[in-house]
Amino acid sequence: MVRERYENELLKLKKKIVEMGDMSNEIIENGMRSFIDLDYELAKSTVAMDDLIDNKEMEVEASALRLIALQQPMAGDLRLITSCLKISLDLERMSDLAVNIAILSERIENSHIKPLIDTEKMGNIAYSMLKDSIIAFETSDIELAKQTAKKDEGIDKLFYSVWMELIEMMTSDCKEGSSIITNASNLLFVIRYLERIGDHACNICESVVYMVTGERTELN
Amino acid sequence: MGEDFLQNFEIAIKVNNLNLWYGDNNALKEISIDIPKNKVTSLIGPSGCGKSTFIRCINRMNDLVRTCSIEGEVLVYDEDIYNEDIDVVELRKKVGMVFQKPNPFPMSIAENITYGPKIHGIKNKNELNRIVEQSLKAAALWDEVSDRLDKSALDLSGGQQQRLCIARTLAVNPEIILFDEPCSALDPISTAKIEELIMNLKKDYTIVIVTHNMQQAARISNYTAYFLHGKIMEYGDTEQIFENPRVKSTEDYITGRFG
Repeated sequence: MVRERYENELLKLKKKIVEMGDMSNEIIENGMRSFIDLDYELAKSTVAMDDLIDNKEMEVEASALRLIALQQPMAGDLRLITSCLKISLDLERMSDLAVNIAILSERIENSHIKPLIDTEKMGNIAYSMLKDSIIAFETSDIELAKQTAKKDEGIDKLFYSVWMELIEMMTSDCKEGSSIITNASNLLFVIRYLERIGDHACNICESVVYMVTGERTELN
Repeated sequence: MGEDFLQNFEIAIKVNNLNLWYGDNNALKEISIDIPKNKVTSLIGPSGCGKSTFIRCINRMNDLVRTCSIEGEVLVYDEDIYNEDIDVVELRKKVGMVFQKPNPFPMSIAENITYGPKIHGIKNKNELNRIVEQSLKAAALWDEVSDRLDKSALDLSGGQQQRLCIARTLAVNPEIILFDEPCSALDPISTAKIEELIMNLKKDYTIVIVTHNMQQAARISNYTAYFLHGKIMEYGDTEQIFENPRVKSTEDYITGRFG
């Protein structure tokens, strides 16, 4: 095969993104679990995991820059490399948001102000979006990318409904000494972070469409 | 060819159903292409694909090949250059050419420039001096050689010699300049100077360049045509060709999978 070494480097870069996607999924899942269960040990290990993801992002960047500098990639190869750079940034940001969620678990006073049913649903949609966006990347499946991006509407709807519910709770019970304001505002941050995680998953889906077709699209 | 991306441009070179044979070998097959005025169009493709043969059709350099026969039309500003009334010397004045290896005449720098204008009847010394200065300035060589115009052109560096050849081409006031791999024998600095020069020249000239350097084609040209086995496989905006080619063999070639 002509340019076998180059082909292998491209495959390795692609594999790094898939691994980084798995790591990001794990950190988001752990961040959510630690917040829902108020599991401080899990929160700590979630925070510690962020360094691994940051390192992976640097690895992706170094490999991509090396390929650009040494191989002068063109067309589909160049689109793959630029998409990897963008996707690694999205994954890194998603992981930071998961860390923020884990940190907030330590700020909840006593217990949650309400059962976190919708918040957990948001988390579940976010994992499945991230998982499918990475499968779409790995298999160059633009249909899967488009379907995955559509799921963001579900997160957005839940975000608005929980947001409204929390505002109502805060306005109806703002007695001195009550932990409602503190806990509700922390929960507001969490749902906002989950909503942003959904947006990043959409960005990954857009990168997949660009990588495969060369067309720049807005999917959400 | 009537491509959509050329709709708003004046066409300098129009080629219709061009076929070329070297003996029995059909080296160019049904080539149709419109090349826009005052733009840089690059021709890419693996060795032997016909791009140099094609560029040589535009100023009838292939006439010099005994076994060569041609069918189809090549129009330069709507004039069929294979019409028997065409004066080939006049045609080559209008359509200049710069080759792969710099080929200055074994004369002084100034004489290299004035050779063409003299053949075309210019005798006035002041006028010839003006052409020397103007051509060397346009080829970005004046500052380096203005104090040694009477010295041999063969003493110049390779990059300077190639710019001298470009100046020599400019001296006869062409409308179109054909470049056949003009940088393949040059170092990176000289290459950068020639590329810069080509980008400046397109203001006044229509440029067609054959290159094996993909990055060079991507950097300097507005349009790119990809040749394979004597045919044009794809022709389009350079950005489109290098970012998102429509034809698989274009992608395979520009990403180095073959060729």
